Amino acid sequence: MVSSLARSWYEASFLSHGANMNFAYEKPTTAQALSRLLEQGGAGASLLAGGTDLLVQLRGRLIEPKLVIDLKGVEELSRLDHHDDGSVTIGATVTANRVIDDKRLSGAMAALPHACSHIAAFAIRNRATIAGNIANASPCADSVPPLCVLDAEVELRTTTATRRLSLPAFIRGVRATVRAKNEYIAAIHVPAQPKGTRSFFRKHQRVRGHDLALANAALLHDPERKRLRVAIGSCSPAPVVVVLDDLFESLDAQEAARRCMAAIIPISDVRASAEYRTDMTGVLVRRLFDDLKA
Amino acid sequence: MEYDIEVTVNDVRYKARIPASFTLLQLLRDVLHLTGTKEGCGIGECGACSVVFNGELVNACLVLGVEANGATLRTIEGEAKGEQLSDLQRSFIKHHAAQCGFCTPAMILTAGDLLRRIPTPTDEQIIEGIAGNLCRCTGYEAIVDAIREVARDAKGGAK
Repeated sequence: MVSSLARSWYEASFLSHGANMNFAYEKPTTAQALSRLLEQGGAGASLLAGGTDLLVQLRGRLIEPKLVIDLKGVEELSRLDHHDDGSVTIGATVTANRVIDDKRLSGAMAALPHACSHIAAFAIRNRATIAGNIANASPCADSVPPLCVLDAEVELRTTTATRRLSLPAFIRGVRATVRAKNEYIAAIHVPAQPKGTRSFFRKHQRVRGHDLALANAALLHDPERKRLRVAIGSCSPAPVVVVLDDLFESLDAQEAARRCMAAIIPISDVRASAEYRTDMTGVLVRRLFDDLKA
Repeated sequence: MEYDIEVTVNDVRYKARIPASFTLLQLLRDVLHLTGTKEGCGIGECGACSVVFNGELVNACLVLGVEANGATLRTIEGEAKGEQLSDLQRSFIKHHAAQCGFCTPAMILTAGDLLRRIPTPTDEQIIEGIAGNLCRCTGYEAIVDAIREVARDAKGGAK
C-alpha cells in the first residue's frame, strides 16, 4: 500500500503523466522563424527562455500549452550589448548570472546586478533570464525595481512590428502584462545615465539566501538632472515608482519613507502581513538613503 | 510529441526518444537510469537535482529533456574515477557531511562547481554557494567543514 502510494506520487510528480501534457517543442534559429511560430501557435504557445518559472507552471498545470517555443536558438536574443552612448541592451535570453558577472554594469546601473544576485540561488541564476523575470510579472521580481528607476524599456516584437514600453506600462498586475499572444520580448533597453548617477537595491526576506522578497526597492540618484526616485516591489500588484525629485536637495529619508509607504498597496499572505510589508518598505527606503549617503 | 535527442553524460553518449514534457531530471532518472540525481521538490526550491549542464550548475527539474539535446552533462555518477573517490567525496565521508544522503549528490556537484569558480572560498562564499541546496539532517556545519578542507588542501598542494 505504502509503496504503491509512493509510486503513484512519484509518477504524478513528473510533468508528463497528466492529461493534456502533450506539447510540441520548437527551437527556431532566427527571429523571423520565432515570430512565425508564435503567430501560428497563438494562445496555445508558451515562450521558453530560462524555464525556471515556466517549468513550475507546467508542473502545476497553471498552463497547458500546445507548443513550447525555445528562444535560446536565436543568437541575437542572447546578446548583452553596451553601446557607445552608454546605453545597454539585455537580450531576451541573457541570464541573471551574466548580468551579475558583467563588470561594466556598475555605478549608475549597479542596482541591477545587485538585485540579480538576490534572485533565487546560483544554479537557478544560471538559467533564469531578466526578460523572463519581467514577463512572469511576479510582484516580487527582484530585477524589476532597478529597471524601473533606470527607465528601462521592454522591446516587444511581432512578425511585422516592434514597440517599446516602460516597465510600469508593461506590467499591469499580478502575472499580467500587456504582451499580446503574438508578441515576444526581444530585449530590455536600459538608457544611458548622466555622469555621477548612482543606483542602489535593497531586499527584505525571511531568510538570507534562496527566498522571495517580502519587500524590495531600488533608488536612483541623478545629480545632473536632479532626479531622485524609488521603485518598490512585492507591495502592490504592479511595481510602484515614487518620484522624489523635490527631495533632491534635502535627501529627507523620513519624508521619502513616508511617501513610499503611502504609495504601496500591500496584501497579507503566507509570507508577511500588509502592515509588516508597509513597515519594512519604510525601513528599506531609509536604508537606501543610507546607502546613497555612505 | 516525442523527440530524438542525444546527450553526453559523464563522457558516455546516449540517444533517447522522449516526450517534450519530460524534464532533464526525468530523462536522467527514468530513461537513462542514472538515479544518483535526486528529485526533492521538483520546483527549484531544494537543489537535490543539481547537475552540471554544459559546464554550468543547473537544477535538472527546471530544464526540459529536449533542451539538453547535444548537451554535455556531469552527474554524481561521474564524480569517482572507478573505485577512486574524489577529494570532495572523501572529505564528505571524513566530516560526516552526509546523514540521510538525499541532498549529498547535488551538494557534492554544487561544491565542485563552487571550487572551480572560486578555488579558495571564504566560509561566507561556501555558505552562499550552497544556499540553493537544502539539507534537513546535518545543519550544514559538517558540509561547510568538508568543502573548506578540500579548498585548503588544494591550496596547500598547488605550487
